[in-house]
Amino acid sequence: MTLYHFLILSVLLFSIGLYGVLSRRNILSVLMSIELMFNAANINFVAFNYFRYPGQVWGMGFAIFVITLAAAEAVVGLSLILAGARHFGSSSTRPGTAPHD
Amino acid sequence: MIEYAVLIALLPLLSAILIFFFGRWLPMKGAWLGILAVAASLVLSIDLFMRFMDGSLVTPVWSSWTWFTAGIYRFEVGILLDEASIVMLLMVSTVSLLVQIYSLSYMSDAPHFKRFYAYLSLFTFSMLGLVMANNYLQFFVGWELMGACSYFLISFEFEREAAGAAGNKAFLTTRLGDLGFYAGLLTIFYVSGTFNFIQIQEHLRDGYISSHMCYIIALLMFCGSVGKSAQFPLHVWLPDAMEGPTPVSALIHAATMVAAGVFLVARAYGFFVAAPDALQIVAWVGGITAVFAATMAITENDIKKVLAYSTISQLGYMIMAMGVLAYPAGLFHLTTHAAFKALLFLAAGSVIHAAHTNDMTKMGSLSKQLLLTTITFFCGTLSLIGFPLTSGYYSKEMILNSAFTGGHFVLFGIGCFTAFLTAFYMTRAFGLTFLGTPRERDRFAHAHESPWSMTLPLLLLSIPALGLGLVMTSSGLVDKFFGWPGLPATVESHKAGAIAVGSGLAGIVLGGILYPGQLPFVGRLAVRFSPLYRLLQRKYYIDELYGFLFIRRTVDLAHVANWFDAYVIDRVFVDGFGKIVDQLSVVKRWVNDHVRENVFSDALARRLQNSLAQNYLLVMTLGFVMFVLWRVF
Amino acid sequence: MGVLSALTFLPLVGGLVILCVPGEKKFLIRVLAAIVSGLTFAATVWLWAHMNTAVADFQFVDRWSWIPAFHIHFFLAVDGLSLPLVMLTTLLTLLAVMSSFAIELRVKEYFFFFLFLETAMLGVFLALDLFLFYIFWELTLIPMFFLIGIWGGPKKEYASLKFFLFTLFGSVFMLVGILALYFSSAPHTFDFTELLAQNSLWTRQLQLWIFLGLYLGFAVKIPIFPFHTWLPLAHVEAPTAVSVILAGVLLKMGLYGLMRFSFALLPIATRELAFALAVVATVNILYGAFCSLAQTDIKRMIAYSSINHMGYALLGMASMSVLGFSGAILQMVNHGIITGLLFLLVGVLYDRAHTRDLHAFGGIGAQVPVYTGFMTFACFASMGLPLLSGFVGEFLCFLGAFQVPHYRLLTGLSLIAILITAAFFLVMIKKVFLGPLNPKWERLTDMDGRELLTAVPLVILTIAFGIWPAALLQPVTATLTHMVDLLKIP
Repeated sequence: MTLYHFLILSVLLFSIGLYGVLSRRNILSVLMSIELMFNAANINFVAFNYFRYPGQVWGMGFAIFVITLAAAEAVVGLSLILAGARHFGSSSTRPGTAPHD
Repeated sequence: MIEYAVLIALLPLLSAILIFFFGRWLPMKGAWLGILAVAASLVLSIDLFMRFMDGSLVTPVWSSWTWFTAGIYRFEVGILLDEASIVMLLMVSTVSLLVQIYSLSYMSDAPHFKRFYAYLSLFTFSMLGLVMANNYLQFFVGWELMGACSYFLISFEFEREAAGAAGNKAFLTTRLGDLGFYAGLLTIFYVSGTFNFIQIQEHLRDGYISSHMCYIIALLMFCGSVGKSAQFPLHVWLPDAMEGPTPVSALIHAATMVAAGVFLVARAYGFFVAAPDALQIVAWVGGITAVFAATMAITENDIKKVLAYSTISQLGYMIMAMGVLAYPAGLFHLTTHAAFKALLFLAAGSVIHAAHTNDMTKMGSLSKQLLLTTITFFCGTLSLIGFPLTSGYYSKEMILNSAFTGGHFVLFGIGCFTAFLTAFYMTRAFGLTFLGTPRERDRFAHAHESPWSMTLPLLLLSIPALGLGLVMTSSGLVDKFFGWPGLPATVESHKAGAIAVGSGLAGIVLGGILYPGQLPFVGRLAVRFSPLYRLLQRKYYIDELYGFLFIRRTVDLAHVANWFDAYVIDRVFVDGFGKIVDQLSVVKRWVNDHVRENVFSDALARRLQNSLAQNYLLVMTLGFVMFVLWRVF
Repeated sequence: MGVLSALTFLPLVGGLVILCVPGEKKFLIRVLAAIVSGLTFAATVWLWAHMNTAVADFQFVDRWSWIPAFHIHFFLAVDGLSLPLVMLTTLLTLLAVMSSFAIELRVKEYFFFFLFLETAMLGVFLALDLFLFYIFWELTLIPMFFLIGIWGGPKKEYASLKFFLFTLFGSVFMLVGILALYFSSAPHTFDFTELLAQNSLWTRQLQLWIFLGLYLGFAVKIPIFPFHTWLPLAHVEAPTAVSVILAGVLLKMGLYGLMRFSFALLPIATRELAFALAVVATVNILYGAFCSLAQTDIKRMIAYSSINHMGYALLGMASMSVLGFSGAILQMVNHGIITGLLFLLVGVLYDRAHTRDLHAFGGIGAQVPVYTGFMTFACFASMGLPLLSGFVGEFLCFLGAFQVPHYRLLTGLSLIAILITAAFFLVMIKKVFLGPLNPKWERLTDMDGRELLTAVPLVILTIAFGIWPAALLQPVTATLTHMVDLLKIP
């Protein structure tokens, strides 16, 4: 198991996430895809820390930061989606239903 | 030490405040407080007068305090006691006291009785403050406050439409004159850097102020007098001001406030003397006003308005006196006029109280019911006519005499003609009201003599109305009190005296023949000369003329300004600016819609601009990828 | 952290505290707002008591480096010019907060915006760094926009947008002017005192351009013809308390800015343009008066009379003398007090009758005697009756202007406005209060305790400053004398 294995995994995760963000029409799915991209970044942080700077903890610290942030973002995002769904009767990203139109 | 003199003005102010705030809980709504305060002022004034008489008070004395300073300039409040102000203090506090006593019963059933006394006290304060002022600014403060009090008291019975209108008319007309006064104040300060009477007098004496400047200042100040003293052409407000309660008419619109205009000329006399051209104007305005107002009084049927016209006319005499350098005569007439005109108004009030109408055509024969009122009214009438040996005789005679000996023969003629008219219309008023047969039986039967608190002031005022002139003339007090240094000494001219007395007597005789005995004949006369009669009745159509010329034009101007504001400035200018910006955005939209769609294919533009957030994101990602590829390779 | 910073930010902190209170506790929010604004007012009274008014120096200086890269300071100080306006601000805010107790819609946000506005206004009067001044200046717009736009009348959106755009339009030019000042100073600075020290180096041309830029910004706020049309609209739509602040404080910001920055920093341009200013002032005076005469909405009428009264102050300022400057300051403070009172009173009537149309009333004088008394009092004060505070300010403005020989005609023309002012107020009094009672208003009730509580302090001040104007003039004289000296040809 080398650094490259982890990077490939993270690239895959990130691409899946990006694809999800760009293609899914349901905001809930978009949110989940964003989580995937966060985690891809987390894997990078931890992997680089482990292989390149052993004995230091900065990468892991950052990962924890991101996890917390992701949790917070999920909370806010979910509540917004919930409110939006109540308000518009759907949770689609289509125009005409989104609040900015 | 004359600082205590300031109490003369401050006591009525104090009572005004107390009555206004606590009056409703006080017995008699605090009216006694106002009477007490002005009585104290009277006592203090008498004390000053006595001290002046026995020589322990050497005039002029002054004392002043700083009101405020702005930069290097100091603006002061102060008191200046000289001969004129001592007499005025005495006069104002006496009339005010008597009017306040009189109002006790006259106004007893009026609503807002408390406010009435508060306003009266406030007015008394303003007038006394003005009289004692040692500088023009304080004079102006009192002047304006009097104007406000006058407004409140004229529109006192504000439920009537006419009262409110009269109040507005009075305030605005006098304020029009005050603009001149205001400009005069600014000019005085410009030329001398102070408002103090004494300092300005010194500047004048030392010749620091050019005669051209004096001319301008004198005319500007005179504008104020014309407004306040209801001189032609600003006389229109005074007859309307009779909408106020009768005691108010007696105090403010006969004895004191309207006379303040004359007092202003007296205070600023230094400027007038230095500008003979201004004096000419003053004399002519006074003369014209005197005869003009007297003609209007001839056809008036409202007893108060007859007296109002006579007030304007008498004020015209005073102004004319000032104009012909008869300074002592002007102030002397001011003093006697205050006595007999206050008396006449209060007596008229007593008549109105009994007859419940102002209209003389509905009265008649009231002497049988109101003996005391009749006698006192008669005294006032005699004095106003200038019947020999009454007060009015001496002062009016002195004015006409000065006009004659000063070479103003036309003005003298006008004065004599006015004296004739005065005698005529006062005889008419007396005849219509008190003599003849009662024209309305019910009214006559219900008329009763007024209570003592109303008749007592009448009796007290009759004394000076009859005797003041004789006393002052015989003891030489006129020259002692009303002197102005450097004026030509008065020369007695028997010819002038005879003509004046003669014209007065002629008026009495003519009036006595026609009223009340020959009423049908008078009626026929009115029909025969109906255009003239109508012209006099409608006050020469001056109200209509002013309404058309000035008031309507001002309102029109206001509407033009408003239209200009709403349409030109706001609609065209401001919103137009917005529109231009808006048009710019239209251009942008047009570019969006046409140019770009022609450059790009329609379908592509639609696909790119479909406002789906994810599409934008996709383009962003692609762009980022391309950027990375460009950087890396 | 000095006294002035604490004073300036106290209302904002109070506003933030209010934001933390649950929205249902309306009473608590109102009381909190009143306490905070009361404390701020108390602080200014303390300031007044502890200031040395004999000198023209800046006092309680609170200055530290804020953005060192651009040499920007956080610089607050008070002197004779700003002190009366600061006191006016805190007093009127306190009274406006008290008169807003009847507001029921979104109470929390309302009082937050109000206190936020107070901080911004205090900042404007206290800031001596032009950058900071500009920030506070713009900050006043935000709460004002919402206060009119949310709690206003039927056309509130239009009014608030117009107000906002108009002021922003002016501020842009002002910003350009400020930047020009910044770039023409040798070590670039926004600091007023540093700019003042080197203004003699600037050419006439430069001064004129900068003056013009600043003038446009201030002119919109004062407001000067033809930039005034936002004012009547904003006043008509704004809720009562906001009108009080708008007329009482915001208009003075323009005059203050003109006097503090344009006059002091650009003496050559000021001397050159003084006559033009006097002409503009005369136009303002007459135009405002005549427009007032044509109004049928009482609030619009008072709004136009504000334009007229600001003209007096501008005329006094244009005279460039201590007399005129003193008159202008008096006029600014007294107009704040009197017009604040007038707007409060119109609000009292509007709350009950739901109309402000002159012709809708008639004879209510007997029905509501206390209200009538207050209103008549305020009208007479506004038309400049002596011994009430409007008179001395007006008089000194005229007196100062008349001392300048070529202003004499302008001053004479302006005097006409005194008559017109009296005319429209008296016509209003007659139409609303005098005459027989219109039966429609038989159920009209008189002022209640809270309304009296807000009106009485203003009445007392009107009388107090009318009888004793020295109370206002004494603290400002030293500063104004100094400012006139700055304008003299060296």
